[in-house]
Amino acid sequence: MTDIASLIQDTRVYSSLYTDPEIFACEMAEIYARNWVYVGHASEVPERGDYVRRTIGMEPVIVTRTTDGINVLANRCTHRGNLLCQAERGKRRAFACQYHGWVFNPSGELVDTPFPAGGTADHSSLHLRRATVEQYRGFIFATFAEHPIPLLDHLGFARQALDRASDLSPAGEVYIGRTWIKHLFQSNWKMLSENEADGYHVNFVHDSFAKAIKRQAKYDNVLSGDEQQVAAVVRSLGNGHAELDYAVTYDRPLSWLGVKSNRYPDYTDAMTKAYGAERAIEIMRAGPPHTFIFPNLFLAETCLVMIEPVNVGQTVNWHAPLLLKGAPDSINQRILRQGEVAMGPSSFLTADDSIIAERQWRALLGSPAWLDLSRGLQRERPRNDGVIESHYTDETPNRGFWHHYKSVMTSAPAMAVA
Amino acid sequence: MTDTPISETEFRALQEFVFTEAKYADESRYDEWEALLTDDMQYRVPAGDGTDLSPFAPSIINDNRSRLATRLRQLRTGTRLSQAPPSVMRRLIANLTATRAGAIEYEMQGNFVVYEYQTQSTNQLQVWPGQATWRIRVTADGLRLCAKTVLLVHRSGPLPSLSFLI
Amino acid sequence: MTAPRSRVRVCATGDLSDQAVLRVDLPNRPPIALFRIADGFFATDDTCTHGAASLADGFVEDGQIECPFHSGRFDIRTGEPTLHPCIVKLRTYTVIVEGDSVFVDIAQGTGA
Repeated sequence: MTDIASLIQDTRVYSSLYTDPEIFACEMAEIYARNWVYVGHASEVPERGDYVRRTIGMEPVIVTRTTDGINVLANRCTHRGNLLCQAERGKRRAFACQYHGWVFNPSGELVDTPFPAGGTADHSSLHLRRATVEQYRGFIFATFAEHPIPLLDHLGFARQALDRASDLSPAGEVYIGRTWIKHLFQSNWKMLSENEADGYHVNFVHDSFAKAIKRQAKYDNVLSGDEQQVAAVVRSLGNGHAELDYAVTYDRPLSWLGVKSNRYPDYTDAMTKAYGAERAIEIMRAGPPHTFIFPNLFLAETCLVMIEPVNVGQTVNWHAPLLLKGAPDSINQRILRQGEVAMGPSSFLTADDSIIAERQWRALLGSPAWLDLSRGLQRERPRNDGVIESHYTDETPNRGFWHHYKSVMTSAPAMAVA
Repeated sequence: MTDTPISETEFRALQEFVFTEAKYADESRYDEWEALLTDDMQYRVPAGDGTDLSPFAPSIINDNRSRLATRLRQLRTGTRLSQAPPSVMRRLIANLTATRAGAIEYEMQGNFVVYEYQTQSTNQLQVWPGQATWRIRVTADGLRLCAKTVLLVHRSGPLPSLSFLI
Repeated sequence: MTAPRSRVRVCATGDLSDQAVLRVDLPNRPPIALFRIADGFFATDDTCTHGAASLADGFVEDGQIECPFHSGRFDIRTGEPTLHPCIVKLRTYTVIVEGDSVFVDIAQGTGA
């Protein structure tokens, strides 16, 4: 087994990290199975019995709401391994396996086995694997680690990104609908994740977009081509989280949505009532986050993105609009429309990012190499609190990602898997 | 008026229009394809399994005429990586039916499959089957497309980049 | 004539909406399911005769209760099983409505 630590240096990483199936298997065991992973939003399972199917790495799970809160259960019968739940979503009070009729309650306990006279196994040991679950602002995270650190410790500064997204709602809550768009690309999950916290590529990969649109707001700044002019920044937030921040390019409320500040007076009123005039204006000016939360969540401004690794060279990005609870339909419509520009297989932006990721993967598979991640090292600005900020085009986020990746992948298993 | 059956002549004209639209799309002839559109054309590729009736349900493509114009401008730059070089495509259209939809419009519906050779990265053949609905209007300049809705068979599952005209 | 102490007040008529089912837990005996359908209030054992399911977690439709475990069904009025895999009849209980109170006679059960 490769020594992973030797593949990750301060300013370069070795390409097999993206193409080696053994490393992929190790990532699923070390990163996904032992750490906090995003699995859903509370608004997706609003009532008792509601469930959605998700994955933690490769492991299929059921995310379900019970009277005691949200449970995350391994979606696999403990008898002979059948997938318990095939439907993507629904409402169930019990999960009956369609193979031999074993029934599990929403806490994962085995509560019924047909023809019991012949059964020999002790039911209490046959419960479904159950993850530890914590929520923040309705964002549900789960982990199979036996002694997980508190979620807030994992989130660190990324917590502010969840606040930033939720505070755009007068009720302080986003909500996610039923329909997801799923974008499949033939590349490693880390490749598009790094792209999402990368500002350097925007002028080039999105050249066709720059040429086609009427540039305004943040695009006017970051597509200007002048390094001194570009004011947006990148940040490494610690714990593998990273973001691009466009707030400084927005000079008035709602410019991030591409509309005049007074376009939605009902929304402005509701926000003022909720937060007071001064704070409401600042929230509406700064706009939503563009933040990657390690390992599988990306807050893509008006959309939420979940990263689903399929194998070492295949990934699916799911996305849905981040709708605002308590906001008028008109602004949620606009949020929906804005999201369509950025995310999805036919989007103006990500459709091209995924092609780059696919080309990278193909090239590296045949031509392994050290990859340079030194950009901006000489000018990045570490803060006292551990966050590192730099110019929009610098590779600070990548270095932060790999630093955390390395510590997770090479640490002694202090958190054994449950 | 809407009770009058579609004549053979009308059907042939509609079919020819649909086949022409398909040829321009297959060959990435953006200018000629755009010339077939009305000023109020709506181009939609819904997502999901069809049970989500929310007005906020996301779509794969949901273009009004203005957004579609931007999409075509982006394709014409030649630097839209997901269509640079353009996919090589041929589509088959079958099971066509036509009905009247108002005094000067028709609705054609049919099944299709696009065979797309992805030249941009994976160099693999992708298959895109589905059902399409074309809303076609009689104008002074001939038949024009005022709406196209495409229901992909696999629209609730993971899809590769879809930057070509489906 | 029913002995008064076997009649138990289980709820107010307004506590249960149409097509709903309520689980009634009573001391020293298995729970009972109280149903309200178009024909009125009915009561059966809450535990399915096929497995350990609580019928109150099931679905009411067309005068039948569908068990949440394996989707078998019983007639709510008679307790008779109406769909595989349920085959053993459910015990039913007489329901008396007086004023706005609903009573179940737990001594007078029929079936199973």
